[in-house]
Amino acid sequence: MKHYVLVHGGCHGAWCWYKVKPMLEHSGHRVTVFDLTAHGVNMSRVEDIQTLEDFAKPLLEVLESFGSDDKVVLVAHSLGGIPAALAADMFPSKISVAVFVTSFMPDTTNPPSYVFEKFLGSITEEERMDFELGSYGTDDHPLKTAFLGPNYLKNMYLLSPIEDYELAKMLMRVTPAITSNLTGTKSLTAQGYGSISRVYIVCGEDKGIRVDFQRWMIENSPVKEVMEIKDADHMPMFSKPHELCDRLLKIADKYP
Amino acid sequence: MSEEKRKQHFVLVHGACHGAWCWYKVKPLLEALGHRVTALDLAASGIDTTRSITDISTCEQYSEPLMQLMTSLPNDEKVVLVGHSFGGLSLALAMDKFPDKISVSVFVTAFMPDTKHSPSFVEEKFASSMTPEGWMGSELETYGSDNSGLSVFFSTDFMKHRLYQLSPVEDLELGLLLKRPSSLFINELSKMENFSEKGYGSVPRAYIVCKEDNIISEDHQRWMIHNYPANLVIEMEETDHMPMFCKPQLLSDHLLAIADNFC
Repeated sequence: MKHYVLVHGGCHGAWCWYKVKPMLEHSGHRVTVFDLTAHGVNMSRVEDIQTLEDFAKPLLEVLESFGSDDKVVLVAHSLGGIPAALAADMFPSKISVAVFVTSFMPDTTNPPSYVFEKFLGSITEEERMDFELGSYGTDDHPLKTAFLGPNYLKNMYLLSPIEDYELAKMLMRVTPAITSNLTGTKSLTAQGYGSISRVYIVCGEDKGIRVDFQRWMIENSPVKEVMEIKDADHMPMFSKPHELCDRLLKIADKYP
Repeated sequence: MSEEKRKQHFVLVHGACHGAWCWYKVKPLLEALGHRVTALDLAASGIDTTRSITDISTCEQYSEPLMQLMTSLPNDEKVVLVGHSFGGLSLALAMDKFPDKISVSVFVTAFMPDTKHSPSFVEEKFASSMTPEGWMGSELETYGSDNSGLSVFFSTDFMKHRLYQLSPVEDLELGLLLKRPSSLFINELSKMENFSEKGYGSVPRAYIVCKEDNIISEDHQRWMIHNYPANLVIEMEETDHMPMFCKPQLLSDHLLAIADNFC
């Protein structure tokens, strides 16, 4: 029996794993899901997120609660990759493998925000549609929010069932944009985050984080293994849940 | 030449501990046929994280998002209200206040009050039949400065065995991930003025009976219909408390037929 810890992406919540969680449990595994700060039904507000640690706090608490002998398969989607990487940096001995599912994946030479800021810089005006950036924080510590409007969201859910797109529209919440003001300028460490096994799952039809950007992140911070779900959009847990589970099961077997 | 079916505006109101999200299957089915659908989060429900249920002392406050929607409707627009479970009481408040804006109200295995007793009557009868064992470890806690509020937070077992027992496992999972504490507002509703004949009583009502409902039993549903007759009663066989998960296509078909019947 393996123990999976599933981390959702920006504007989403634990709810996005509602298909994957029972599938993994049906295969006999333990699965922990949770809402990051100010996401899903977590009662905090985005204004409560002043640091990356604040954002990642529910995940850090989950990992902290496990015994020193426990090892988990940490699975992160999209923006969840950055708080997951922070958690891996803080608790490397508790992670057998970190799986980045069409996810932002930091390196160990730049601030953790680097890959996301590069992504923001690469969005064309045409692609932006109703992707909204907002501001919060103070003059001394300015922070940004991001929100996915229904059109941008539709692009992410292009190959997913319409009911899952409707579900998402009903549950979207403002997410912190992971800028260097939020993360600080220090990189994650080679002996922490850099020491764990990482696997990247490329989603071939992702219109949010395009394949070439996914490939660039892999080149920028090489992983142990790359897997692919060819026909998955940005949301493989909805568009290809069986294929995603199949790969997660294989990964867990391979990296004890 | 057949007359094109009229486009409806359905307003979907969730039950206790749930949110707008529970309509995620029904909403696109209705919209695929060209209808307008609004699925609301009531106060302290779904992703309304600006409030906790302990901040809400009256059913009217809880129903405020619905009341605001009704207020905002253009004068010439009528909606089809659909209430699930405790959502029936929010429907009744809206019906009493905005009867001219509603073509029909649909009570989906919901509490359906009358005009002769206090608004809490049908709920009190339900509560009187609930034993502590029947709540299966759900958390019931008083709140408010006078302890007159009673919050309820469904346990996993309660949801699994009494609400979602015939629904897909992934929808149970969804419910477990999104549930929030709610309130039954029994004490507050018991002190409220009766719903009026000219308001609530003037709006056509349809009742959808879910025969395998393990929480609001078929018997209680039928008792409510007998106590205050609906204009139309529809039965859903092999359906648990959550028809929007258990039988979403059939529920949508019934909602469409009801709307056609009363517009």
